[in-house]
Amino acid sequence: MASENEGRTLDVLQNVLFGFHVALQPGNLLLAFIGCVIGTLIGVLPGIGAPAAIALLLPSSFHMSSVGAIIMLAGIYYGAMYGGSTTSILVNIPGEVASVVTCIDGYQMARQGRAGPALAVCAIGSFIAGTLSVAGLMLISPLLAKFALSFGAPEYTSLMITGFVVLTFLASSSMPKALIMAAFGIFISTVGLDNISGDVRFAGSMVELWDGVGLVPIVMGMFGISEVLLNLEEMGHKSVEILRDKIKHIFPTKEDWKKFVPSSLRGTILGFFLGVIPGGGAALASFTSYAIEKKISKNPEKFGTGMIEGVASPESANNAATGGAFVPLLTLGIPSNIVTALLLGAFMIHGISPGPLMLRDHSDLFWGLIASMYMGNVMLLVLNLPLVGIWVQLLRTPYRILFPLILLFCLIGVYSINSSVIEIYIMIIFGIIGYLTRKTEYDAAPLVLAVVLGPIFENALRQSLMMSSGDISIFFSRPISCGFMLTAIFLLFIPLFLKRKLPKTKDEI
Amino acid sequence: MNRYDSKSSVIWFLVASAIIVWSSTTLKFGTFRHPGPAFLPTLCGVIILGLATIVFFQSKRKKKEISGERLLEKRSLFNILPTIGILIIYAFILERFGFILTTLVVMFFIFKQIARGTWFGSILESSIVTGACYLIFGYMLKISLPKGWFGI
Repeated sequence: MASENEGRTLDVLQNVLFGFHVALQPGNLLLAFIGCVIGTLIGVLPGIGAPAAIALLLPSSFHMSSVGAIIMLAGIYYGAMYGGSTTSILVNIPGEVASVVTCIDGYQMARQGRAGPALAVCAIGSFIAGTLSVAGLMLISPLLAKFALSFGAPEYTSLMITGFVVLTFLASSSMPKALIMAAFGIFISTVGLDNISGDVRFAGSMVELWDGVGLVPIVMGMFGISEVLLNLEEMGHKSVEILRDKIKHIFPTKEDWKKFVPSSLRGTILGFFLGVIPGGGAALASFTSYAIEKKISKNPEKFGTGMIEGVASPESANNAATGGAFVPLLTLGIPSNIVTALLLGAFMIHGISPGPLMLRDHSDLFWGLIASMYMGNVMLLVLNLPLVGIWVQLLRTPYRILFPLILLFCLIGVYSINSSVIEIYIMIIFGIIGYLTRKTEYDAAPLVLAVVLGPIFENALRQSLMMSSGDISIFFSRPISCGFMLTAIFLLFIPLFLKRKLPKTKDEI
Repeated sequence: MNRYDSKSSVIWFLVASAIIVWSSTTLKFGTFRHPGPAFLPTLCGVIILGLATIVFFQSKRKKKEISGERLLEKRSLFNILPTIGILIIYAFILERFGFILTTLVVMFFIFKQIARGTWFGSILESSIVTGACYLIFGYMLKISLPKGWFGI
């Protein structure tokens, strides 16, 4: 037993060294750096998020190696989490949804002249969380991949059903509305050629749609264009107030360290596991960790007045969740949020199917990505602490300059996928849909995730039904599948018994 | 609940009905034993129909808890409709006039009309943006951008 454990440790060490060998190649190192810079930039700038940025850069990754492309896109993801905190603290506007709670105590700290320590705690907490979550990813993924080898079509079907239900359960709108969006997303995913019968569905004579409705135009429309339309409503009516004081005393005091390190560690553990859950993710992690931190604090009434724990815990949690989100993607091939859904698209563009066999078939990509995340966390620490002044200057970019750029980037990004204007029309349609659904409080996330998971879900569902000769009890007769289904049923019906769900806004926490 | 829940649920009724009718008239549903291409789309239609019913009745029951902003207020129409319009025009003329010309004209319109810039500022901004994007996307990232009738 002891020698078996020793052997496993040696295997992991050997794989990590191999990963560093891949990640430290100059090209990959440069791409990780570019990803981190772009991620921080879009995290800082309100109005364009990680999904739209990744969707925009997806076509340009065609020309890169698969390892380099994934390393860069992943860098944007965790870089955006770092950058998002800067706007929360200095402007009281979160660059990312996951940074919403950081505004509460972070902005108060800044108003008290402690913007420096607040930013430092974010960066250091994010570094601790990012690094530990990568370690968790490294240890858990091989075990889960082995376990996932026993999954058949029914297990995949029920796992995806659970993912949809978790996502809609946590949605900020009502659960039926979020489920409508998920069902509509699955319907959109059925447009195009049916893999099993070869029939063309809902595409008519439009050959461009035979491969299905592309993910990038949908994401660009729902998150890029609709965001611009919403902001244009406010243009000229809302001004952004940026802290003009010079940021001094960046490093936290001894007292601060004592307070924030335990909070950061708690946030990391919670965030990592919430990131692993399909439908979970960074936003849920930060909200939950803040609520827990407040609950266990000796001075809960002081939260909201500039408590360092209120910054450290959610910032660590949202970064740990990004690491956690890679676990289901790399081991099961199932994305747990929109960004990992786009990364799944990037894997597929390069002919790689993430899943239990990825560790065996593409070990360079798997371990290279993990090692690059270690490197990326160091890069982000350097980018975020000493260069905070530059990011603050960027915040002063007027929106009247920013929004035409976002629109143009969306147009170019979408056109470049297939050199087809049809994709631009699709983006505009989804931009309008996104604008209307956000106004009427329907969440966009379930729709986008359903579009990605739809084809996998349909294949698994139809295969399961064929395996069981149409008997739906197959989902309950196999233990793992049954476990997933019971979880989904429990979550579906729990709102009937609970009046209130998790806190939805920062005011509710 | 949002002030538009009852109206949006009616729209979802229509969407779901269209999905079901479209699926059933153009594709085979199959059986549970051998699900056909219409199986999942029809299922989605039925689920949306059921959920829209729930949203509709919830909106009638909780009339007092109205939230959410009004759709398309007059002030927002001045910014939003021209933006959507210019995006559609961009898609329509992109392959005819080429990337550089189309982007230059459309960006000028956005900077001047929607972002309300000055004539000189808008010309300068649109020229810089077009040039920089051509350099980054067309030259550095080697994305194929349309040249149009004039070959530019």
